[in-house]
Amino acid sequence: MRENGMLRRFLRHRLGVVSLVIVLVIALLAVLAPVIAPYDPTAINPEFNAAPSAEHWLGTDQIGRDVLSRLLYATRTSLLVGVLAAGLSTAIGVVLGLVSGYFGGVADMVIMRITDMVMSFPYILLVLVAAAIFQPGLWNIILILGFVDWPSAARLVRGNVLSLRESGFVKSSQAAGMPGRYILFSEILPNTAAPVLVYFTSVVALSMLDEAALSFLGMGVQPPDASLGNLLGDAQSLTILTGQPWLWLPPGIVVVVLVVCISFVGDALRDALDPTGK
Amino acid sequence: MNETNPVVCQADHVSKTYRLSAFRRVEAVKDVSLTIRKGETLGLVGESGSGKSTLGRQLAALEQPTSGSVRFEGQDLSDRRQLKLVRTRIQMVFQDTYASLNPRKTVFQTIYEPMAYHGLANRENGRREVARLLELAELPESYADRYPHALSGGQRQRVCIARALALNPDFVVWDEPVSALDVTVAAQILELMVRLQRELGLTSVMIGHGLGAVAYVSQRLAVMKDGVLVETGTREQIIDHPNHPYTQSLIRAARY
Repeated sequence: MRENGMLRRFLRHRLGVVSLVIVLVIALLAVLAPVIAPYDPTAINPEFNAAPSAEHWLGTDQIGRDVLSRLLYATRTSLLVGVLAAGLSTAIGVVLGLVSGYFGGVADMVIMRITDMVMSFPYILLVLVAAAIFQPGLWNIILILGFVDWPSAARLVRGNVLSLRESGFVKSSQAAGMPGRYILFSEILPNTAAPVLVYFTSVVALSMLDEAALSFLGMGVQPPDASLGNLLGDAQSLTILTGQPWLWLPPGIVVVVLVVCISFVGDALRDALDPTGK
Repeated sequence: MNETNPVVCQADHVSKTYRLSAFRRVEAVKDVSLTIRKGETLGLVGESGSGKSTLGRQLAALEQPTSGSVRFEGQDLSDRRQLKLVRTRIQMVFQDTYASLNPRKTVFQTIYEPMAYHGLANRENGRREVARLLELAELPESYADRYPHALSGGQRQRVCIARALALNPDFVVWDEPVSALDVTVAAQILELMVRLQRELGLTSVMIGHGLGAVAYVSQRLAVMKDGVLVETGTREQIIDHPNHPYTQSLIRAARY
């Protein structure tokens, strides 16, 4: 009954539904990249800097690689970074937020001070330095973004837990002599799921943007692997910007569309998960 | 009420101080001593902020007093081991019925899970046991599969009452159970309370801000103001011969 209500509220959010469809289509194309890409993304073709044509729908780059194939693989990489980094940071944040909010005391103080510390670093600088130390690359970027992004999730969950801990149903569970693990995992955690899910979608979008920024700066996914960020990074020169829009327009559009659509899906989810909503 | 009935709950010089910050403290309850005997209902009246709900949480052992002690059948509730022995026999019902029920659980789950944990119900008799408790709280069995948001305030409070009774408690603290309800619904809940107390032989503390509802279910009354117990006595003593000016103003207010 309740789940139907959620679905109904989500479906009513037309922008969210359209965005979800777009995200799913792009994600499907990205996942199927090895099957549908017309060329090997690193294979060099005889015609370089070629404009879009029947053989190369989005043209070729400076060294003759097919842009459409690279774009498909790049989207795959960027989505992977976005989802995994957001998943990692949300998981860390949820665990620390739960511990901090539920147990309080010394654990809370230690976790919150570490959170403040991580939050007080200039974000992009921290990520850049970490990338420089640990070698840039796909998996390192995921880990770095995951380990730097968790403080806001921890704070969100902690705040939620603090208010839930005082709620009547948690008090009733305590009065019923229920063990801590029941209260934590059966009473509190399910009620933080909605805000966490909404947060997760926004961090997926942010992580994709961060990856794009890092790769653009050369500290992200390393060539010859393609990511949306390093496709854009490769297109920095003035001649490309003015004369070869097929090199930077498609990855730029994909980044913008994905980030905007994921944000809309997040908004729709927030409304759908609010049980007081009609 | 019979003065020779055994003492169920005894508060001895209970004080509770909350730390708001390093420099700000609030003394919610100041040196309160109370005795509640078996089978009686003690009404605890006072205005908002008088510390009556705080005292209620100490009596229900949901919080520990800053100083003083609460004993339940002789067990000191500030001692973890002693509390564990009597934990499920002390239950509490709250004012905010919406916050009192986990929005992600059905009525059945809410009532059944603690029973199952304590071995009072299992898969075979769970539905039946929950139905019995719902009936006790005057709710049809069909409500078991509803979520709290699909219930009215009065229905939610009945579910809370069923849950509080699920573990066969001896002592129930009712923290303003009808303050948030419509007057007609509140009256039905009050009648239900009286019936349950009589049929199950419950010992209770009824907390409220209005004398009317509290006096209806209580045999003895205790009046609180600013964290201090200003007056206690039987219902008749308090209503017919109030000593404290605050009690007198409460009685005057009850006319409206």
